[in-house]
Amino acid sequence: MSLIKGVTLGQYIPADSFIHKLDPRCKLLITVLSMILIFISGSFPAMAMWASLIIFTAKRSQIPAKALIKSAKPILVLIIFTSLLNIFFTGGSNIIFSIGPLKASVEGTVTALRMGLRLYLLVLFTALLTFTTSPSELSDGLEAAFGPLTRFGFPAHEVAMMMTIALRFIPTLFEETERIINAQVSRGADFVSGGLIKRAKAYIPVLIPLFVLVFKRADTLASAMEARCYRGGKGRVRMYPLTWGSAENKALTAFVVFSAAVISLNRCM
Amino acid sequence: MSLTVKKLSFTYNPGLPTEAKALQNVSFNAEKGEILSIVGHTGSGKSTLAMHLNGLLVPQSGEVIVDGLKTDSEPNNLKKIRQCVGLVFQYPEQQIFAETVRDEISFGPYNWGKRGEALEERVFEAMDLIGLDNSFASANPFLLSGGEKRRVAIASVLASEPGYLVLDEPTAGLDFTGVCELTLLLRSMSEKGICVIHITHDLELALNISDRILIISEGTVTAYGTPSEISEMLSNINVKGLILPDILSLSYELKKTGSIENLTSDPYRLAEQIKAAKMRCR
Ligand SMILES: Nc1ncnc2c1ncn2[C@@H]1O[C@H](COP(=O)(O)OP(=O)(O)O)[C@@H](O)[C@H]1O
Ligand SMILES: [Mg+2]
Repeated sequence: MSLIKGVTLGQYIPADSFIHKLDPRCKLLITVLSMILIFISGSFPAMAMWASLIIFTAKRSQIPAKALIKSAKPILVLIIFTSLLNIFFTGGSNIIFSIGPLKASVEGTVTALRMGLRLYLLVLFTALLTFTTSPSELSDGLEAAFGPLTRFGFPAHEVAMMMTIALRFIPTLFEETERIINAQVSRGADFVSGGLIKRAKAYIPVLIPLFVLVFKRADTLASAMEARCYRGGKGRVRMYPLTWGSAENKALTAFVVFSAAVISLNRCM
Repeated sequence: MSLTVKKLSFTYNPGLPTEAKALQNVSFNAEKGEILSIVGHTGSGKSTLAMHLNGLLVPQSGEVIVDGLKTDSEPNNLKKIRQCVGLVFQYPEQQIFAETVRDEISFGPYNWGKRGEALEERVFEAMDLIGLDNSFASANPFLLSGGEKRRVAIASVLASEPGYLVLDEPTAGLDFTGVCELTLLLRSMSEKGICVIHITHDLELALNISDRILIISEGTVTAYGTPSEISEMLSNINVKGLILPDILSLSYELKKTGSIENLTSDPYRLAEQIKAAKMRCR
């Protein structure tokens, strides 16, 4: 009876690999660049190249294909939905079939496929980032990336700290939710039968205890941070300073060369 | 009429890097009217076992049979099983959601179809059983003390009149008086003909209150029997992560040194025996 089992998005899978050890700033940079590049090089051969890069990276970082596919599952529904919209609303003259006023054209189908694949690749790329980067490294990386913005009053440290805490608590909250759902199911709660309103109402006995727990946890965490004299980012030093070395340079160079190849392939097509 | 677990095995996340074998080949049987304690260290699989008893988890291999119904069968059976096996989770006070104690306790019986007078009756019976005064009925459960909250949560399970009552570490975080009151409650439930399955990591408590004890360690059963059989067995086997009550270890030592022969393994009489042995030593 687990309604939320198998949520792996945003999870970290520890392993001893070259990619796990890369500086988080380097991985963030590569991820952001690849997002932009996937959007500007949308031909099918180019996407095949991106897919092969994802497969290679997953192999090198010992991420099981199963986990990767599973992580993108929740988003897949969204992708399929937008693809369907694309099929019917792109317009075009070569109609394949029509349902009432909805007409599916060849152009629409190609656009839908292209958009869908693009989104899927993006999700897989970010999944790779979170699989290979621990939450604390990730927020350190983000803090460093947003660092320059502090000059304009952007609270880089606070935002990074908030992200760390949020990421840290996602699995805990899933666990708590599952436990509360199980407890209510044991007392006869029924989340699957009845109309939409009845089902939505059935979640009240889950949501209230969950909120109570969350507020309690937040309170405890705040006290614990204060007890350790946490005063925000000013003057804090790191236990593990980020280091940008030759591995990072190599990875970045390899990525740039690969991207250039993909872009020129995309141009030629 | 009994609850039977046969060769139950369960693994979390099979095939993934986070795979964890929680239960392996667990078998036992619990009868109406007895207190069966399941004792094991943290992570030994007790909670996983508890969730199998009312079908929240279904066996990956083996089976769980409640009054002749298998938990891995159709949803209709599952509903009957959940009604008949009341499960009190660890820290059950965390499941409280209602605005009044009455609403909280009526949640279970309402879900099982009780309405009006009958529902009311169940609520007050359960409150009576657990020792909550009637004046609590309209109180806000979130404003009660920790011990009172736990009683409300246990009452909310009792209100469904389960034939089997499974409690996962019900004494965790309670003070000494709280533990005593709870054990009295368990005893009175079993005397009413209910089968009480009491999960704990406290062997001494289990030895004191149970009719039978099942010790699990790392997902497998290491000992199963009456308290006196168990205290006899524990002198020979070493269960990982299980802390022996002081009185047991002392009596084992005395037996080893020959200060007492014929150890009665009845924990109630150990103290007497040791006292007698001390007299002889003089
Ligand atoms: N939801 C879960 N996912 C993965 N592993 C779990 C989960 N729940 C428990 N486990 C693992 O199963 C084993 C038994 O856990 P549990 O039944 O909670 O033991 P206990 O209640 O005796 O402390 C532990 O090793 C634990 O890490
Ligand atoms: Mg437990």
